[in-house]
Amino acid sequence: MYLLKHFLLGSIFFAVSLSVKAQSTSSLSGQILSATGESVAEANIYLSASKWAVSNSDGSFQIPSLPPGEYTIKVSRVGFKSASKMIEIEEDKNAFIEIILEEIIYESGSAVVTATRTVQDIEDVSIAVDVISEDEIQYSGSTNLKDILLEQAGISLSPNEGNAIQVQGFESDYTLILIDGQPLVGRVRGAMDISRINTSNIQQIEIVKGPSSALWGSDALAGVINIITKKPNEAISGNAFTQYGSRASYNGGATISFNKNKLSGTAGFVIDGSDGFDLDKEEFGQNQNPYDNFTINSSLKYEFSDLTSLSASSRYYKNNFSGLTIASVQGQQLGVGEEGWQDDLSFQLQLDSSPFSRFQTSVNLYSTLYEDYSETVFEDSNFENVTNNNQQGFNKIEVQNNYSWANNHISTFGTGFTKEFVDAERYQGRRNQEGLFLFAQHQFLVGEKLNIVAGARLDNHSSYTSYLSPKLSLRYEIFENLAFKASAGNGFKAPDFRTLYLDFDNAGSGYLIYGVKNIGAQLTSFENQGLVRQYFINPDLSTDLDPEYSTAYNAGFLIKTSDSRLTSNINFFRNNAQNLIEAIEIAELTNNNTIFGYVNINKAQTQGIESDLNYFVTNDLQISLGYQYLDAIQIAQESRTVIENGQVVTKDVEYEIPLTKRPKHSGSIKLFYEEPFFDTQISIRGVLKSKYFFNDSNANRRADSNEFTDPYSIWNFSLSKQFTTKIRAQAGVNNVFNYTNPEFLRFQPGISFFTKILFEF
Amino acid sequence: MQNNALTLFILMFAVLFTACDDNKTKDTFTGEFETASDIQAGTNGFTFYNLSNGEVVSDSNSTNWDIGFKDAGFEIFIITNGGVRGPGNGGAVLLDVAFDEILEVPANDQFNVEADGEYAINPAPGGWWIYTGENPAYEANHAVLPKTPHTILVRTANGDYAKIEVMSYYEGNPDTSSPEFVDLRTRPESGYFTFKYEVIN
Repeated sequence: MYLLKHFLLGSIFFAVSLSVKAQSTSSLSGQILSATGESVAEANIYLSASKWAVSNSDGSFQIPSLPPGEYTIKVSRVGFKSASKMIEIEEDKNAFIEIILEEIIYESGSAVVTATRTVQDIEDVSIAVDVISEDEIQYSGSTNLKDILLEQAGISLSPNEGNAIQVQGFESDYTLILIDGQPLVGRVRGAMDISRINTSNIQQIEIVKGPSSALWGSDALAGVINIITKKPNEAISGNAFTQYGSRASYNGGATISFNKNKLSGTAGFVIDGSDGFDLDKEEFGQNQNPYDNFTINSSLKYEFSDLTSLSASSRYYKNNFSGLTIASVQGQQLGVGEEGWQDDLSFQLQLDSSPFSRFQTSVNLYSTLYEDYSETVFEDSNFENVTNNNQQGFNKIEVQNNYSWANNHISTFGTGFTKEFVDAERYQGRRNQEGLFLFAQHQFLVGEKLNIVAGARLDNHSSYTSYLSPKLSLRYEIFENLAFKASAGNGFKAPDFRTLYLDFDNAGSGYLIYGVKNIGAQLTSFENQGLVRQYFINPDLSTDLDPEYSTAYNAGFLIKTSDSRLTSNINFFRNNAQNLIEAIEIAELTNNNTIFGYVNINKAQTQGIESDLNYFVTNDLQISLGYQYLDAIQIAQESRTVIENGQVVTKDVEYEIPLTKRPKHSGSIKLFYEEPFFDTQISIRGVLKSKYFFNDSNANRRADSNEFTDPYSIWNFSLSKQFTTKIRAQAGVNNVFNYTNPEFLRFQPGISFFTKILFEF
Repeated sequence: MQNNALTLFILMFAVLFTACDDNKTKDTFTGEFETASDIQAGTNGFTFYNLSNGEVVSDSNSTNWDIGFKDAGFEIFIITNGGVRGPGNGGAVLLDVAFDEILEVPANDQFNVEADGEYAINPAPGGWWIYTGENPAYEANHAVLPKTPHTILVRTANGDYAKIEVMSYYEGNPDTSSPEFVDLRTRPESGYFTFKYEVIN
């Protein structure tokens, strides 16, 4: 034993002295700077698997005890282009190196935040993300979010909902809309009117397809659309613009921004209005009523130091509309006048800080309020005017932390608390919901070619059982020009206020609908009065709702030529949605009224291919092509009476119905040409849709040939010219071939012209 | 051995043939159907219909009719000639199966018989028809639409079997998604049955 101890001690001593002897006194130190000369903290400096460092807050770094020799230093940092440099380290000397990193300019559409909640180069992201850049918005002359999104191949309009959109075959209810990472509220019957977002202050639009609840929580079942607003980066800048076009449509506004010393800010307003349009003069009312609206937005940011900043921003929108519509009153269709307004106010405060090296934290407070009011006026009749007022609020406090463990690990974790309410007469007053959530994500770079992102989020909510949404994605670089991406994850949508509380009990219409929180008491009351003739399902099944959820798989490739002139993405997707909520018949009353209640019953499957191709034919001519193939079906369940072995039996059967209003093939063509001599930009954009099943108008649960729309395409053209560095003029024609379809495409106006003048300083 | 196989083969063929023959009994549908157009339902009393000769019958107290129609607003009656409602052998069963898919008739005891306060064919919405009300899923508001799929198996007054699918409840069997139908002011009159049927004789 004694001997063994000595032997062990001896060998340790020997090993230590050996390593001391081998240790080199050479070392490397240096500084990482940005192109503007500012120090870059938390950059990863990589020499070999065991020799690496992370730069300090002043941009400095040190790698001690290096054997002499020639090294290639690779430096990478989120938000910057990677750089590498050769250096020779001599014996017993400290080498010093200065490396300048070029910032990835956020404006270029090459960096995204929505995919991982950290800034990332779009080509490095492991999931499918589309970016619409500021230039594309500018050249299109689109004044609101709806118009610009409709030019994308994979996005369709829900024709009945007006200004709401579909992603990967899911209705607008299942796509989360964010402005700078904060959710927009104010859905009407589940649909979000996105025409209320004007495009004047947008830096870029990021569209993440596939479920993203692992980071963003409820509603991110089909995807997330995040609108990134412009951030001031010049000492002082501003713009003013005015646009005028067909049907007395106008759009104008001004913005001023500054960024001086430690304070930066921006303030702007936009006004927008139109006489609306009418496709069928014989039909009562217009397809779009006249409206006018304005938006005011402002932001302010103060940087206490390089490591800590506080920012605040606010937005206010108000829209007035008036017009004629058809209302159904006591079984009669009446032409009536309707007028009203919507407004939307939001405010956020955020503290960003890096209290110690490699760690960033942000605390965010967000509050938003949406309200709409409408009044239906029955002229020439005895009916009283009907007013409708609806208020929705959402408040959130959230903390997010990022920690870079080493050059190949980044952890993100956060937590937050939400409080929502809806206040409307049809909800019998104010209803509240509360939620608590936790999320965590880890990005791991395995070697130089494989990037893995794993994350999960837990939502604990007052209105439903807790929900856990995991997601795993990876990106593998097969060759320098070819990368493979794949992801699998869950997305969910919480039962909304409508399915929880909304009661519709107009007995004259023959049916009654109760929200799940009320239906139990209502059924008991009907039963006690002896009014229930029969139940179609066990009534207990209709008194609670679980979140709707989807499990999705995405896989695809990114291909580019080595000169980056041509880039192409292809993505295969499959969504299996379950627990979808639908109002079904619960019971029949002795007065023949049917009671409907909401249950988690339906399933849906959407699958398809999304692909895009971007090609710079010359430096001045760019062509972009987009294509989506979509196969979307609903799997419904119904109890049916059938014959089996000569007996009449009732059993539950599942059957498939194609989902309506979803074209199988959608395409987009975009052409941008910058004519250098006259400084003129030309853009031609087309959207093509194959025929689609519009509506099961005879309710036979089948797609009949007369229920299909015709295939169609819409083409837009615009021309802009820079006169001086400060003035630009633009003119354009939308829907050049004047395609309209009053029956099926009610929200597509005919040909329209516009002119715009933009002044920038 | 070969002989044995041949015998077996012939035997099988024979069995198959007899089986086919057996199927041509009185409970198999052939797929050849008739269409009755715009049979106006009674509002106070019933309109009686004979499925064998396709005629409207006035004598209710006879086995001359097989089914009767009555439009009572929120209940739409199709009755059979049997039980408390007629002297015949009638009965019916309502199935959620497409007309074409029904080839055989279930056992006789599976048919509902007319009784006091009980109807062989559910006259309420949700039976063979639906009322669209203001449900946004339907283009036409406040309309009566036949449920799809549905088939009514009827036992006629003299005990034969028939299958019926109601195609329309409006005069002239209109396209229920057409603008004329959707507009309540131009919608055709209700209470007119158009139905297809096949009787096994």
